[in-house]
Amino acid sequence: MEFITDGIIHAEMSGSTKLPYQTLFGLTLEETQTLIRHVIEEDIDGQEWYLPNFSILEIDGEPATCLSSWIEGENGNGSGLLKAQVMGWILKEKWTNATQQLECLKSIQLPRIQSALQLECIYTKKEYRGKGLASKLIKHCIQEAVTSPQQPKMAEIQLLGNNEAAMRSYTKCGFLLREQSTSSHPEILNLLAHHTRVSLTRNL
Amino acid sequence: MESSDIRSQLSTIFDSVFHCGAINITDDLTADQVEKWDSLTHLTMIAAVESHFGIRFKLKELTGMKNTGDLVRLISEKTKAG
Repeated sequence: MEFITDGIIHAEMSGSTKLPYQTLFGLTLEETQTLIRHVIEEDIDGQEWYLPNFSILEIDGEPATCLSSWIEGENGNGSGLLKAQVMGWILKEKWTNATQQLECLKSIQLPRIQSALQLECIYTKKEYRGKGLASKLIKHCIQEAVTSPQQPKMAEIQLLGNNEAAMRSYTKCGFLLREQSTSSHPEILNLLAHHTRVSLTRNL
Repeated sequence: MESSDIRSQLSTIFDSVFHCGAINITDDLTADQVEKWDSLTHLTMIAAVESHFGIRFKLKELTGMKNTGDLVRLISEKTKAG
C-alpha cells in the first residue's frame, strides 16, 4: 500500500513539484497520502486506484515499478465518475469548496475510450530507473488484458504533456498520440504541472 | 412515495443542476445522454437529491448506481424506510 501510494503521488506530480490534490483541496502532503489510502481502502472497482488494478514489478524482493490497469466502463460507470464520487464522499465540504478549481480542471479533460484497456499511475523508484522496467510492466499488463475474457481492442494512457519519461515508456511499447487537450484557463498552471493533457493509444 | 412522483421531482432537480429543461426520467437514462451531466455536476445532483428527499446515500450505493432507474429505486427504498 505504501509503495502504491508513493507511486500515485509521483505519477500525479508528473515530474513536477505540484501535486494536484494539494493544489485543488488545500491538503498537506500527509493529508493527501491519507486521502489516497482512504480511496484505495474504499475498494471501489472500476476506478483507477482500485487495489487489484495495480501490478508491481519487484527487484530482489523490493517493489520497483507499479502500474494501474483496468477496462474503462466495465461495470457500467466511467472511472472518472467513480473516483469523483469516492473523493467527494470522503472530502465532503472540501470537495464542495473546490468547485471552481474542479471546473477549471474540466477545461483540460479528455473522455476515456469506453471498453479500452486503461493504463495509469506508472512509477519507477529512482534507483531502478533506466532499466526498462516500466516498459516491461506495460507489456505484461497488455499481455494479461489481451488474454482476459474482456479482450479489449485498444489500450489508452492519458497523461500531462510534460511527462516525457512516461511518454518515452509508452511510445517504446507502440503507443501513438491520439488526441490532446490544451487549456487556456488562467488558473490551470496553479493546479497542474502542465496545461496540456494527451491521450496515447495502441491497437491490441 | 410512488416512482412516478420521484421521477417528476427528479426532473425538476435535474433541470436545476444540469439545465436540461424538463426531461423524461426513464430507467435507462445515464450521464452520457445529458449534456452537462459530468463527474462534478453528478455530485451536485446527488447532494440536491439527498437534501430534497431528506435521505443519505452510502458510498457503495452511489458507486453501484448504473442509471436513473437505480437512483429512483434507492430513493423509493430510503423514503419508505424513513
